[in-house]
Amino acid sequence: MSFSETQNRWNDFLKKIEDRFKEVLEKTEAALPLLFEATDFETITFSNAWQGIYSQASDLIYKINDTWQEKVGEAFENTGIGFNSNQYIQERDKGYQVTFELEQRLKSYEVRIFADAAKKLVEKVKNTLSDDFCCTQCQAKLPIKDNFFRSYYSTCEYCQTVNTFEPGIKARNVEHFAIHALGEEAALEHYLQYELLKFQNYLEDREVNSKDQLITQYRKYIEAYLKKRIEIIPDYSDRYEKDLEAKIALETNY
Amino acid sequence: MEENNNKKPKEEKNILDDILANAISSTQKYKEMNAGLETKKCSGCGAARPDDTNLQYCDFCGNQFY
Repeated sequence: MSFSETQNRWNDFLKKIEDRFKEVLEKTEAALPLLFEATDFETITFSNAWQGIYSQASDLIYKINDTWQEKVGEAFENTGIGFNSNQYIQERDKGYQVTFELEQRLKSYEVRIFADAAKKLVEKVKNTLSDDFCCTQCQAKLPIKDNFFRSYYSTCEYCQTVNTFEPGIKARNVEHFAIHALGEEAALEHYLQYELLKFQNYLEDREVNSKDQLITQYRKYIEAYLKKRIEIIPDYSDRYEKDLEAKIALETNY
Repeated sequence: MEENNNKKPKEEKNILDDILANAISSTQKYKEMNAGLETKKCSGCGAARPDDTNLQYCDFCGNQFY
């Protein structure tokens, strides 16, 4: 097979992967939000379903590199171009480029679909918490916080009885599910940029972007993420510095 | 070949359906805990716990809470 025939087949293959990838995510777009509402905002079912879809989409992405390794690289060599020649590297990088773009799209899609679900959950919880909750002893109305999603004591100002307020599982899921999703949404552009800097280094096989540049970019991502969390649950502001330091250390130490 | 092409959309639809059905059936369901209030009451005299007291002894009769 000639070089141009091989190149055409490689281009067609990459195009098919992109089309199939788009198709998988488009179908999910309609189904996952319905599932979330049908299960009454059940976050574990939602996450499990996403995991299945994520695996499908990831498998498609991995297929690019697998196919290059198994067949395409060799097919290009058989056309007479040298291994690691400019043409060879250009074709190989085409695969890397598509892989990276699909990974970025998958991440963006994941963040968006989780953030949409999180917004619905937060809205539902805020409605619930805006209901009247009364003292178990004298039935006087108790003040209930709409930005704290754990159990806490609330003392009745009329009879001084200590009531324990339980916000319910949906409200608890704001902390366990929604704030992460909304934080990721707020910080997404910084995360994608961070991944782009790392990819440029990988593609060039040298430090096009220095370690300091990478850390600075990663820091922007974490700052935006943590600030969004604080906006939803102000209680987190006390540990902002510690969280920032820990999250950066987790990325840079390994 | 044509037959295979005709079958393809149905099979693809089933993969998504299977993923969603599997997520629903394999996820452990727990009893829904709704928002609400409760008050710790003394098992001896039935008094509710007033403000500025601890959870060790009843402020009214001295009975141990736990």
